[in-house]
Amino acid sequence: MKERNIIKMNDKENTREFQDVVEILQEEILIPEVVMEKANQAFDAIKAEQNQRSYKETVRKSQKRSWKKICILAAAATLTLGGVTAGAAVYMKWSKGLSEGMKATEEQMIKAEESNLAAPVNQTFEVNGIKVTAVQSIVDSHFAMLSFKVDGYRNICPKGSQPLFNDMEIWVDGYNPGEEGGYDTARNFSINGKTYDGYVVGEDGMAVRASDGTTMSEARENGTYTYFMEDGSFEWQVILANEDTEGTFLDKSIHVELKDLGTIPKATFIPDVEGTWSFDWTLTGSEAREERELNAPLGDTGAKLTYVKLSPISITLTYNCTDKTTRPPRFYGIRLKDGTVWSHLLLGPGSDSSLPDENGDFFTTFALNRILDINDVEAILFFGNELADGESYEVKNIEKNCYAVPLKE
Amino acid sequence: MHDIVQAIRRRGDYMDEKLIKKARERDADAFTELMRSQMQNMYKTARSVLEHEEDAADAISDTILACWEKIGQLKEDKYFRTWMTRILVNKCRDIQRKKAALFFTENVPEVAAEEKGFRNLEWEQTLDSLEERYRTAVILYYTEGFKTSEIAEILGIPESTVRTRLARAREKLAVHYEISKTRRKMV
Repeated sequence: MKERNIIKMNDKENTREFQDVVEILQEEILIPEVVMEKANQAFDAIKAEQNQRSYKETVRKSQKRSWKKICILAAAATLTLGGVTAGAAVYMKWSKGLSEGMKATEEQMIKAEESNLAAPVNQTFEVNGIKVTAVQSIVDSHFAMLSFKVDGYRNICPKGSQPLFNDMEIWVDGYNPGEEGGYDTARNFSINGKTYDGYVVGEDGMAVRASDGTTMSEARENGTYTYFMEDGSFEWQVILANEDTEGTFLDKSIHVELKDLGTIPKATFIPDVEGTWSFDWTLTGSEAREERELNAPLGDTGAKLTYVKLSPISITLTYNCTDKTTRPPRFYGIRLKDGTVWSHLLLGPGSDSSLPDENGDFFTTFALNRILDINDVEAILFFGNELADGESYEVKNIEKNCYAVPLKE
Repeated sequence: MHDIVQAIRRRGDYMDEKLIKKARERDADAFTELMRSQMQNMYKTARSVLEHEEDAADAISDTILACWEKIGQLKEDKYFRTWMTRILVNKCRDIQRKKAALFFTENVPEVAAEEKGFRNLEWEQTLDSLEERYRTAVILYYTEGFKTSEIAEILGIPESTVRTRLARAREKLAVHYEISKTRRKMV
């Protein structure tokens, strides 16, 4: 950060002497060794946590400290969900990340295509021997999930490294949020990119490989953790989000530029293949949702759920707490009409009020990590009592204590 | 000059925006790079609240972990620095409270001036010429470039109080400057 050099010249009291004093304070100073040592320990802990995450430990801690962590870790998958409709067949070839990664059954994929929620793109752009194909999109009123298949990089990529693009520039309806000159709240969106690694979160919240249930630490130990598919390609996923305004992406033209392919071995991007891969198409999507205004108390917490909007790929919740010091209970998951409970649903990106607004309202909007049949959703669930000290995380205990708000009258 | 500095700041913020976005996606490498870029800022702020380096080190490491845990709660990328600094100040205050609650506090020996180097010594002497409530406001305003409204939010005090503290700090710093100038002449 360079802003430490700022001298605010509008102070009437500013004299040359005073500026000298301020310049002393603005000088770069030596950071003591003890500070760097402890900071490095924290960075190491974070890296270790990401590399070999013990989910139960994480959940136990986050039950007491931060519900958001559960949500972010909860990129889940199970291979047991749903049955395949006899004789049905998807019309387009889905990417792995948006099919197995979103736990989509074949029936759901068909519905998603028929409702235009999911659409093929199938555009290929080749630069310096790297072929990138825009495969498909899934779009609702707040989020756009895009999938790109990258061929030709496996033999270049250093073993074990995560392949990724160094930069992305995206214009939707001609608007690029990264461009200088103006900020349009209604059109603004965040851009999030990641390499799909085949890992999702299982029913108990543990990260597992979607294809065979292997845990991440097992895969790292036995050397099978990889970002590459059997055919040598990898999948680059992009999620665009505008949590505040609806319709930013629906039926809008999109221009995507993926720039420079490489890895980040030690916190610095190392490009292996320089170039820009460009794509243009029109995003189609679906505004399908279950939406309700209500006034449902969440137990005796003093918080009420006042609004729910559930799309097949995202959820929006509004809570109200008359006592502004109260935080509303955390979103836990959904209960289907057949009694099945799905938790660990929040994928992100998303936004979540950390403080209430002047009316005591809290707002939450998140992309989900699986495709929902919104007509099958019976209730929205919120965490009940917090776990007591020493009490272990048991999914069934939590479900038993949840506050349930029916989605339909 | 102010315009130039603001332009540099915008460029710096733009670079950080990319890291913030990646960090929000739970990219540990991007998060680490982002927080490393904030070490000067964090140390100066922590040191403005806490007297000892060891305590500042604890507050900063706690802040790094807390930011990693809570970065998903950050509503907008542009508020990252305000959000992080608020967490840091709160961590510093936690440490202050814990120390105040002890009957006996360990007397941490001061590090010899030679070991710190003249640069830090002058910086610390200037900083320590102010009482804590003025120090933090001055660091956040003059070295971190926060607006008074942002400082009010970070410190949890009215903006008018921030302005008062800055005005008093300016008077005190002017006195400090005169004294240290006189001393230098005597030497």
